[in-house]
Amino acid sequence: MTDSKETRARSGLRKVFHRIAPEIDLDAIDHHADLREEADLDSVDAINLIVAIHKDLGVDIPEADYGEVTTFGAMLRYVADRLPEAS
Amino acid sequence: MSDHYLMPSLGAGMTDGTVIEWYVEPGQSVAKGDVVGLVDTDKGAIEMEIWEDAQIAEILAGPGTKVPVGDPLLALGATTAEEPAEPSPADPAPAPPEADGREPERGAEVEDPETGPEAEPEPGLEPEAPGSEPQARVPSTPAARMRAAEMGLSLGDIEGTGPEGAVTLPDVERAAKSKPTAPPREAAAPKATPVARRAAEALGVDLAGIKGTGPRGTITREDVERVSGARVPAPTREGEAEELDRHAAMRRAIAAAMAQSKREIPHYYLAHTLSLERALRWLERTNRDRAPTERILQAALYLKAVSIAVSDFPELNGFWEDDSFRPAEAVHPGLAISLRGGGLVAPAVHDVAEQPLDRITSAVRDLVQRARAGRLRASEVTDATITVTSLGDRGVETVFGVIYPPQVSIVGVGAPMERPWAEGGMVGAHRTLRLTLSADHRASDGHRGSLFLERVAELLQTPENL
Repeated sequence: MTDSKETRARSGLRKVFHRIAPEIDLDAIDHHADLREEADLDSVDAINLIVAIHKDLGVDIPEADYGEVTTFGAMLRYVADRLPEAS
Repeated sequence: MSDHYLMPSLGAGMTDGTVIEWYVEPGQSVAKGDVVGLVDTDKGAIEMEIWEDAQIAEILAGPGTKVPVGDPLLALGATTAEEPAEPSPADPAPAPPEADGREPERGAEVEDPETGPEAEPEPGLEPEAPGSEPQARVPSTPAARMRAAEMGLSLGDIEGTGPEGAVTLPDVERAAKSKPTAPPREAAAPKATPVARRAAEALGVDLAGIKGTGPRGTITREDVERVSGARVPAPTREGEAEELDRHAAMRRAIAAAMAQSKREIPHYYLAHTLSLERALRWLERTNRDRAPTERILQAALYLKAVSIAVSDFPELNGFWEDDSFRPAEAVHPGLAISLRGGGLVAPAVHDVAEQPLDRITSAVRDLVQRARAGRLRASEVTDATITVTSLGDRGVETVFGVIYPPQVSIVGVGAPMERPWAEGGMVGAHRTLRLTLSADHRASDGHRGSLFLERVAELLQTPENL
């Protein structure tokens, strides 16, 4: 994972979270705590988040991988690792 | 015929609403179901739909006006009206006001329908030199004139299909479509709501550069906010006070409805536990290879199972009003949605029983997003015939709902729990689901309620058939 990818993933996630959980301060979020509890995401919020990540960042998180993105830190890595090359 | 569009009642306890914004202008034609404006209520900002095809004659309550339920908001004319509605005593202005607020010109422009124009136009005849004919000679409806001016079209160029060959609004729309390259004149300012227009002016933002996201591309307050980066206060409230007010108002609305429910409705409660293992495995298989937008939500299964089951139990699907039960004609389950920051709403998901699960899922996703953004439609707030409250995939095992009057039942869906489950003499670990029913004993009895819950549980065993 390159720095630029991580930067892009971070700013992309920031935008996505701003839409779905606008009151959440991503800088203050615990990278190792359960994301859905940290950001108070219910099941519909969670799928909307997955949809937005797919649409905005081009990264599809299949349902089978939901267990790998349970914290913000894990989600950031997951997305950064799979981010398509910048066009 | 002149008619009025009234402040809708969006549920028990609503006494008034405050107009935030109109998406329509006098003279504009609207079709049944179009969103015409936004009103601030104790349930948040609600988009109001119109219930008939009509033409907007006049806006009677401007943005910022607090209007009691049942009082007029808009004066309407029938879409086919070719002339201004007869002046009524309450409406001293015989012609609809111009969109830009200028006094309408009297006399020359308004043809008397009885005597007709002196030069009878021949319908279908192309005028040879349209420019030479004064516009006032072309019979036309006020709405048509206004629209033509907006579009930069000359009335003389338009074929009239109204009485005496009068140019009507649909004629202008048709002409506008067939002339797509015509550059609009200066008169064709970008369509924007009055609030957006004022805000843009105050902020020094050029409306021409803004892409409107309102109905038919109308520029709204939010569009101006987005482009300018500035927050444009709603006409009545501001900033944090707005949030606090809103929160307090929503709590009051919930308090009123729930207190009424517990005071008046003799609830009875039933619970049933089922194995959700089969349904969840089916969901996991189905969703495995699907793109995120195609993945089916558990809530869709519950909504559909409840909708199908309740159609055989009409006494659970309807309203208790005036000491008697009125069964609903259709099944529109309301989905209880908790709002970030507190409070909840239970907007209707329409006609669930007839829709495939992926359509229900996208309807739910859209509804949740709009509920949280405060953009529900009036029909969604008023149409629910039974409520489903689901705790989602996390949370506690059991929820007993409080019936939302005048409805007569609410189905509670707990979070799935892994539990020992005995089946056919064997014990295994299953994910189980606890379903509950709170129902109005005036309208139904426990026996029927019990059969209903069993039916829902049965439907959830064969999700592939839902």
